[in-house]
Amino acid sequence: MTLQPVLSVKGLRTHFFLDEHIVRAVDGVSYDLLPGKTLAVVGESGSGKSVHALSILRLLPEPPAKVVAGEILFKGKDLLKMPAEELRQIRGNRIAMIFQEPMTSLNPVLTIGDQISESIILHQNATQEKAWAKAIDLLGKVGIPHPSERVNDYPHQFSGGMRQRAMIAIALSCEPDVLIADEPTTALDVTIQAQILELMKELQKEFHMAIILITHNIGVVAEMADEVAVMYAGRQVEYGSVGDIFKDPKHPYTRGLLNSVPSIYTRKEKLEAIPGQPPELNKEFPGCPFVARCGVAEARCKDQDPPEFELAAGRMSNCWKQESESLKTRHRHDAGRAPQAPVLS
Amino acid sequence: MSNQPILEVKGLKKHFSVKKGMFGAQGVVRAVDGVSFSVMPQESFAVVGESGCGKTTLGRLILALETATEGSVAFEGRDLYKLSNAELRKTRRDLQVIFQDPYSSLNPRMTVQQIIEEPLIIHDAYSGPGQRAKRIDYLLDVCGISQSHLTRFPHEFSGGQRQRVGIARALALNPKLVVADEPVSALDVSIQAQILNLLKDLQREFKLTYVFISHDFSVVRHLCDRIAVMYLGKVVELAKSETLFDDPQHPYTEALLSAVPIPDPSIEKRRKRILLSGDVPSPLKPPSGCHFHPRCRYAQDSCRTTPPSLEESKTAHWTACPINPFKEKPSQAALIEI
Ligand SMILES: Nc1ncnc2c1ncn2[C@@H]1O[C@H](COP(=O)(O)OP(=O)(O)OP(=O)(O)O)[C@@H](O)[C@H]1O
Ligand SMILES: Nc1ncnc2c1ncn2[C@@H]1O[C@H](COP(=O)(O)OP(=O)(O)OP(=O)(O)O)[C@@H](O)[C@H]1O
Ligand code: SF4
Ligand SMILES: [Mg+2]
Ligand SMILES: [Mg+2]
Repeated sequence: MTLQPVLSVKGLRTHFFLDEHIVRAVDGVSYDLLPGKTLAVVGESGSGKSVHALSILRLLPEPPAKVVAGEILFKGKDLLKMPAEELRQIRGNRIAMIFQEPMTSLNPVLTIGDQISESIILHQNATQEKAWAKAIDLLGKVGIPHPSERVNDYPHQFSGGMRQRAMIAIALSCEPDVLIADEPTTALDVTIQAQILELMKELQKEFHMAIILITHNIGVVAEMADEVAVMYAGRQVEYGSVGDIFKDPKHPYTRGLLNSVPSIYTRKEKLEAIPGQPPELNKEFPGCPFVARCGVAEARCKDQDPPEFELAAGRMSNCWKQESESLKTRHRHDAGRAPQAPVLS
Repeated sequence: MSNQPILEVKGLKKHFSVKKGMFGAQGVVRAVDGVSFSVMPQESFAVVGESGCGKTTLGRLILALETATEGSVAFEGRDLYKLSNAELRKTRRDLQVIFQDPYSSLNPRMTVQQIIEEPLIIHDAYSGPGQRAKRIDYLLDVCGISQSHLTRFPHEFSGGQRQRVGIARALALNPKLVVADEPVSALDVSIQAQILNLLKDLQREFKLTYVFISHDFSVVRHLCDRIAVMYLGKVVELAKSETLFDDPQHPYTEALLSAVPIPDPSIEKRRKRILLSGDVPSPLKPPSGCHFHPRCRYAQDSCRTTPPSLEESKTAHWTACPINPFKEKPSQAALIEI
């Protein structure tokens, strides 16, 4: 039996329509997320990782944001077409999200217990009493010592690592099918990061949830991911299993990225840095967005947009160099029934 | 290379008085609490540790931007805290700093030209005709900044470009010692690699000595010759970089190294982590004895009462742990060989 994806993102494009220009923050992202698996989304700052995640839950301010194309199928149903009420039943319940800075997503004037039980009451029709008991239980599960006392604390009484644990407790309160974690450990010390990642792995096993882990830390990807989507300038430029991506990266950006990471494991005389800067997203690139920094670019890379080359099942690269290996070619905008882009006056 | 250290830190302490709790009782944060080490000319010396362990305070003490509660900092044999203001000002030419945050450390109202030129003006350096322009040209060139950027303002640049400008400014006066406080922590990996390579090249070009402050072991391994690991204001281990990674001696270093993810899934899959329980304790109320004992898996009764001192546990390898758990059996962190 083949597993059905719990979440399928197809040809997602999310743009910001600002007064002076359009920011093409997400411009072609497609993947299937299987239950119980972890997909890491990696890429540099500004590459569209967070906007992609917020698009899934439709949490972006519209306007200026607009999903101009794509489908986001949760168990086969398109979240982008769903009535607001139905979506609310899924958000925070079947699909939960945790953010980098837990302090900004926790309410400072409510106790941790109030915040967890509120989420339980909202989504599961539990009584106040039951929800409170479950809140204590969850705090214990995420490794907060003396949960029945700490449940009465306010967020500022928690350390950074404990707040992130509390956020995870809220996210897990409804046993979601999908957990989207946007840089969940970036603000934490490395020993606390190790605790939180371990916790996420344990809870994933227990609840059999799928995780979308957004990070720019290549080490965290190696530790956590089953599948990897690499983003550059709003586009998914490569996709594959974690083993394939690290052993045999195809896209020149992925190769550059992996070569530029220092490791405690080896000392290199010189890191292979990628020259130059990522492009600004307020311009449209006729060709490949990486062309200015790419060491192997061809003449056509400048003005011809590389499509998505499927190299094997679940293995994709958007680089002209892979054209000859390609089994199937798909334009990154293709997504079945793509809605029309709005006409700008 | 001379055999005299360029920098000698001895028994350095910095205690801050802070209000504790709601009733405003005075508490003391021992941000730096008895740190000693020396750095040789043209060496890269790293200070690593988790948030709040005192790295930045130590850096500021070395630059005499902060007065010490106790102890001394000698630069080229002269105690910085005993210099007159005029002497200190002159010495400052040789001591420069690169900050973590290229966004806030550059004056937003100054052009790149003004930012790089300012130290030259303050110290009246390179003052002959055409010399300043030549110096700036040279700095742009070695730091990889384009001429056309001179008239532009910091906000027009990316983080990596801003960090280059900060580095050019720090090097303007040809310093001997540069304290770099998390110089690449705010940058993306691909840009981080550019800056690390640049810092390495500049060290050769300018014969620089670095005190490199970081929470990132991978970065430190790449750049530094020796490493001091700090925990709650104290150095718990100090060794050559290679030795520290291959043969860590302190239980805290062991746990830290084992927590760093390695960018290789085939290693990660087979690796066993040593997870430390709990958080770093409050520096207002550090645990008795060895500060690390509540989180340490090797702790014995004596650790609760006797504060360990930094001892030479192996040649040129200093450790503040009398239990010495890795004497017979090497640490787990070192056992990640393939
Ligand atoms: N509300 C907004 N209005 C206009 N542009 C926006 C808005 N939010 C995000 N952007 C732009 O969208 C692009 C993608 O941003 P996003 O936050 O998704 O990046 P990211 O990959 O998550 O980066 P980071 O690693 O820094 O979190 C950026 O260029 C950003 O400036
Ligand atoms: N001016 C000050 N007044 C009171 N406490 C201070 C002051 N400066 C620093 N501290 C405290 O001293 C301790 C060490 O701080 P420091 O900034 O040196 O740590 P750090 O190792 O640089 O941390 P980070 O990695 O977060 O930058 C912390 O507990 C901090 O709160
Ligand atoms: S002295 Fe004791 S508590 Fe401290 S690190 Fe060594 S074994 Fe652990
Ligand atoms: Mg983001
Ligand atoms: Mg600091």
